[in-house]
Amino acid sequence: MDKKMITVLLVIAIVISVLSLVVTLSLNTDNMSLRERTTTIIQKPDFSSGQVGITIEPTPENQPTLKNQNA
Amino acid sequence: MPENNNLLMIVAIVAIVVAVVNLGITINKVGDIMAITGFATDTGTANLTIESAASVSFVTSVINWGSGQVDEASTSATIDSEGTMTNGLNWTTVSQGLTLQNDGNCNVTFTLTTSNVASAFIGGSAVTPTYKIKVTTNETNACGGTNSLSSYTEATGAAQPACNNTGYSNTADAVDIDVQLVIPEDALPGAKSSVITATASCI
Repeated sequence: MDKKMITVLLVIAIVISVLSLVVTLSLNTDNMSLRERTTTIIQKPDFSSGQVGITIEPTPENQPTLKNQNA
Repeated sequence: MPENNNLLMIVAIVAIVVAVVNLGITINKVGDIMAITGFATDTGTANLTIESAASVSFVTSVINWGSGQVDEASTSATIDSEGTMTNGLNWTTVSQGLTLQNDGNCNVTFTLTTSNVASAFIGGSAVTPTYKIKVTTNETNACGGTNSLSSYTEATGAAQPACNNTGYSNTADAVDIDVQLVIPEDALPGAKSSVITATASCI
């Protein structure tokens, strides 16, 4: 075994370690994107209704026939 | 220096073994977590989604003056839901408007839409009929931001912006909607009604 062979093996060790680091980093990214999705809030409008009512009684002024009868 | 080379060789092999073991453990853990997050993405996300956060309701939903007429000596009567009864006969004096409450979980902006306008609701032509609405706070600070209906404003039948920041705290989430009518003496007799719809969205 000469020094060149040993150097190659050490380079392989470094490459494997870097790959391991990359995989670990990608794991953290997945966790972050999951958190963002789970806090999403869907909003949509809501409505409600109220009623206004009044009854107008007949009078000579608003019912011409009554006006004529009174005359 | 063959012995030094052998030692270096051993160290290098150990480094490779450690790195491989490290990679194997990492891949194993990634596989476990991806399996868990996969399930969470499919079902967990839906469980944590909040729908229809805006929710409003009328806790007082009716204003009704009953039956009455314009005083014969006048050309019109003016009445409102704040106790005003001018030149009206027989109608019940109303001192409580509609009350709208934000019972959701977010601050909202809301609009009011009437189902008709004065000419269709009241009618008559002796004077111009009016149908106006006004928004005030029922609870302090219930109408933060801008209130575009802070004074009586003619109902248009279209969505009219009201409060643009009504909170959801139980002590500051209710507003009053008052109504004012001017009824001409020649308005056609009969039962009249109008629906006021409040539409709210989270801000």
